Amino acid sequence: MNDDASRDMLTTMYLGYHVARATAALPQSTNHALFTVAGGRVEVTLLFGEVTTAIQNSDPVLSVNSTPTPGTVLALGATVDTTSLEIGGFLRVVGAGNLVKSLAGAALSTTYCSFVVPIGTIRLAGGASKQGNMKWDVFYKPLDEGATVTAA
Amino acid sequence: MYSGPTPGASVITDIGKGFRATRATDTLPQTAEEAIFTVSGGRVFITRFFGEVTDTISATDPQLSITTAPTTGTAVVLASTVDSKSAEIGGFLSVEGDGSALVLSLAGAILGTAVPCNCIVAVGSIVLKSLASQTGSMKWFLTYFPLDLGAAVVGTSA
Repeated sequence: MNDDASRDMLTTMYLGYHVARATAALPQSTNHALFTVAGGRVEVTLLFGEVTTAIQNSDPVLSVNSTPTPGTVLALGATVDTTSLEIGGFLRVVGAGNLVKSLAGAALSTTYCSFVVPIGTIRLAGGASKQGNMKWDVFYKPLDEGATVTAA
Repeated sequence: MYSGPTPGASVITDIGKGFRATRATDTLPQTAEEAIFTVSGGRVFITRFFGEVTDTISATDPQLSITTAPTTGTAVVLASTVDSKSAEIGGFLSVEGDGSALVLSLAGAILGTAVPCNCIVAVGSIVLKSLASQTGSMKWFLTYFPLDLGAAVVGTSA
């Protein structure tokens, strides 16, 4: 059978479960949760954002962080200059502590490194108040029985 | 609903590397760009991408590269030029998908690369570009997983 659902199943087998977060405005000199991790640890195989309203011509100083329920906040993706990033542009969290920015044509390959996130939230921080909207997608595999990720 | 080619017997490849898309052999573009794949229905995650020489490339470098041509937004170079002059029949040009040069291999094998292809490509075309008009023919192959329901890659007509 070769319908969309069975094709989607193969993506799930390779990359894990898919959770999409709807488009939202950038955090304004604050941070907001993108995803909530519950029930146990997960291995994130792919985490990226896509610009849906062009980012202002001044850097919002975005970063992505893991905020565990007990413990210390960890930067999954430190800031990269996203000034004027176009609609369709990508920010990819590669799990080595940095964000990789791409224009709309493609989010380029990286040295592939999935990463483990404990119970808590994955948050987007804006170091400045700038215009722009993004949507986010995460693919993950549960490492503990019952672990899930949901969009915040 | 997706209505492209049925994976059929390629189940194991599908599970390990994703769905296959092929583009039949064709002469090199002559100082021009030519779409070799079309991405439709949503974003895709490419896991393997290479071309195979089917007619020996000229003794002068055609300066080949691979870029995207998204329906909306700016093109991105997936693989920049590598000197492919005189590449033999069966030789390969591999795309790592990180913007670095195409990786040229002789016919014996495509060796492992430091950056395995795992790029995300948006709706639009994937384009083979040449900066010089040289003889030679190639066919192309890629594997991918759909990231959005209904996303697919299909080879263009040669």
